[in-house]
Amino acid sequence: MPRTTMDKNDVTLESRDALHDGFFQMDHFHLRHRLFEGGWSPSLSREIMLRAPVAAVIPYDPLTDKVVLIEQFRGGMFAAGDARPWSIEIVAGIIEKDESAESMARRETLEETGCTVGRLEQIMEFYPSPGGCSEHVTVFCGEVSTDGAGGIHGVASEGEDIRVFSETTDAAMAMIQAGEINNSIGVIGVQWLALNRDSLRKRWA
Amino acid sequence: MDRNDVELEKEVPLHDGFFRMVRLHLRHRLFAGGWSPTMTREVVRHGTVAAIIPYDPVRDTVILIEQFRAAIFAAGDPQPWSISIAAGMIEPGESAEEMARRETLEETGCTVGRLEKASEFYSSPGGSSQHVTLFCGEISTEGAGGLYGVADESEDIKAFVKTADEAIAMADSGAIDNAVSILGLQWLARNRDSLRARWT
Repeated sequence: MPRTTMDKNDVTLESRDALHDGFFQMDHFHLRHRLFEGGWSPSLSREIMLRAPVAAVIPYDPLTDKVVLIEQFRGGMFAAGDARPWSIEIVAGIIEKDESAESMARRETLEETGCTVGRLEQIMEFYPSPGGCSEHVTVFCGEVSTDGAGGIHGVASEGEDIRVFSETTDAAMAMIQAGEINNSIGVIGVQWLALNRDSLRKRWA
Repeated sequence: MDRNDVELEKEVPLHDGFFRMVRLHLRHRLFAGGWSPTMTREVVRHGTVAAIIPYDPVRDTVILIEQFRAAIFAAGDPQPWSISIAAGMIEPGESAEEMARRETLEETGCTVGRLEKASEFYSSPGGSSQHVTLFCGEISTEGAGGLYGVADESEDIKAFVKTADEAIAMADSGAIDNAVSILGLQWLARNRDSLRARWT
């Protein structure tokens, strides 16, 4: 875990006010924190988008060296003006309150790809955008069979419309180079696979 | 599919402060054919970010920074200071390259020589328009490190030098906990040999 110089005891929360409370929540924080050279900062104003924790899964078949990918519409890319607001990703979803990250990872992989996860390893945790958003991701690598993987999936009542396909690790890396996979979780997951698949295939063979 | 397969019905402003949040009402074409029902999507309209892996190809070192992150505090993390590479918002009229050079100087004190684009990506495209252009920039880490940041912008930054191996290990172990830095250090792990051959 982070070995930073300071910790949460070096922060004083002065006030916290709701700015928006809808599908997402945004709060306005006023706080001060200890400075590296000693003493305290002036009162800082920070708008923070509050989001539930996420679990993500790299669905990997160690026998074929293939990863299952999904394509879906993304409102954030549409809002950015992107000419192609459909995104190619690994599996990810919000962890429900009474659910472990592991059980969510298995459930979401089944819902989004139709694949059942065998072995499951937690590989990392990170904040996608800590400048203004509290979203936190726990990333797993999950063992799947890509035999027969594909088709259209997703929970229609949640407005999901997901195309499933699989690629070799090398082909997925080429998609990153070409800019076809261009979201942080997907790029980090596939790059992790490229760096770690040899040891993973030994463990899972 | 592309942008023409989306029909924006309306955009409702939800908040307009430091960040701008809107609710999109839209329909899009479905993979199976036909159109979705109208759906609503809340989105933060975020500026464009440039980030840089500041790499010294002679010493095989990088410079990292540590700073307070209010969003990590809001998440309830016991360690709301985060270790990262240099990054910041691109100002209007400024290119991503100019911003990467300026931000590296402001946050680390290092002047960037050669600069190569490594990657472009969305941080969290489900609910944010934030887009990052990631560079690798040539620096010298000789004598580098110390306290930096623009006090006007309430930045309080500690810059420090690590070997590339140490920094990559920090990304692997969770000591580095943010997407831009993990993605950048993975990129360095895969490209450092060819980069050193080009830059030395």
